[in-house]
Amino acid sequence: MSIKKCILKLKTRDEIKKIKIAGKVASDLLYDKLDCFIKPGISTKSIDNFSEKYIRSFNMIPAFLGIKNIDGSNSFPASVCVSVNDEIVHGIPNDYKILKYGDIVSVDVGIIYKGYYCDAARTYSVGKVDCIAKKLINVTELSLYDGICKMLSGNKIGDISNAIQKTVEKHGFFVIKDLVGHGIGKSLHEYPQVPNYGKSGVGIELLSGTVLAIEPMVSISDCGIFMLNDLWTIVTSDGSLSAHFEHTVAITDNGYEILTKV
Amino acid sequence: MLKKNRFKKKNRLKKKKIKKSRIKENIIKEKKNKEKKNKKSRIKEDITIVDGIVLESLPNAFFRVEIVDNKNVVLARICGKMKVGKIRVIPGDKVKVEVSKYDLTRGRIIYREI
Repeated sequence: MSIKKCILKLKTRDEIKKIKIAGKVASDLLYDKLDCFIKPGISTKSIDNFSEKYIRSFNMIPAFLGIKNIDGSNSFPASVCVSVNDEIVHGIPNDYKILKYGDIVSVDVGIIYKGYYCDAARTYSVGKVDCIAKKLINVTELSLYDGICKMLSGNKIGDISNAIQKTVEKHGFFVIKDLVGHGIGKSLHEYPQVPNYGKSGVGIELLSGTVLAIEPMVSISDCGIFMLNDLWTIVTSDGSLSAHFEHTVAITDNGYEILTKV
Repeated sequence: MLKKNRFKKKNRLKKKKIKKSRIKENIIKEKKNKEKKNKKSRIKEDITIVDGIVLESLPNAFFRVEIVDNKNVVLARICGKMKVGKIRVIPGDKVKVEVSKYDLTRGRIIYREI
C-alpha cells in the first residue's frame, strides 16, 4: 500500500470510461441496495457477503480482498470495509459484531474492472440516531462536495484540502489529520496524497486527466488515531464517533466528473 | 489511507515549537492583564483626583495650587510626562491634581485644561 514513484499519471478518456463503468456498480450498491439492507440486528459479515455477491454478478472483482498491510504481514480478509461508531476506516467484518439502534456504519467499496480501480464509501445511520451523529454525517457529505467543487484544471491540491477543512470547522467538528485521500487508476493507491487540511494555493497543480479519490474523515473531538491488534482497524483514541465519505473524481476538459455517482 | 510522514522527527519538532511559543504568549498576556488590574486598584485606593487653580509658580517646577472644593492650598509638582511633552503651566490655569491620603499638603499635577 505504498506510493512508489512521485509521477502524476494522466488518464485518457477511454480509461476514465472504464473507471466509470466500475463506479456505476459501486454507486448502485451504496446508494440503492444497501439502504434497504442495513437494519438493526444484522451482522457486519452479512453486509460483506451481500456486496461481494453483487459485485461478482457483474463479472467484476472486489479490490480489497487479499491486499497486504504496510508491514506485509496481514492480508485483508474481506471485500468490503465495515467500520462501526469508533472505528474510522478498515474495519474487518465479523460474525459476532451485530448492529443496533443508534449506530453509525461506514462501508468502503473497491472494484476492479479490466485492470482499473475505483473506490467509494458512505456512512449509514442504523435506526434512529442522536442529533450530533446526524449532523456529523451531513457535514462530512457537505465537505466532500465542497472539496470536489474546487477540482478544476489550474487549481492546486491545497484548495481542495482547505475547502474541506473550512466547512468541517465551521460546524464545530474536527478533521482527522493522519489519514489522507489518494490518486487512483491502475493501482489502488497512487501519487498524490490529498490531505483533508491545509493551506490553499499550495501543492501540485491539477491537470485534465487526473483521477483522485477524496475521502474526508471527520470526528467530534480533536483526537488522534490508534491501530488495533489485528493490524488493520484504525480507531479514534478518544472513543468518539467518526464519519467517512469517499468518491472517485476525474478532471476532464469540461470540468470535474464524479465517477461513483449515478 | 495512512499519511506518509506521520512519525517524522521534523513534524514532531514543529508541533513542539508551536506549542511552546503559544504557551509563552499566554504567560506574557496574563502578566500584562495582572499589572493593569493592580494599577487601577492602587489608584482607586490611595489617591484622589481633584480640580484646582494654580496660584503661584516656584522654582524647580513646583506650584502652589488651590483646590476648588475644600479651598485648601497644596504644594504640587509637575509629573514627568508633562515635562517630556513640553506642556507649560502658568499661574491662573485650571488643573487636575493627584492628592494622596497619606499627606494632604502635597500633590502632583496630571492634566492642564485647555
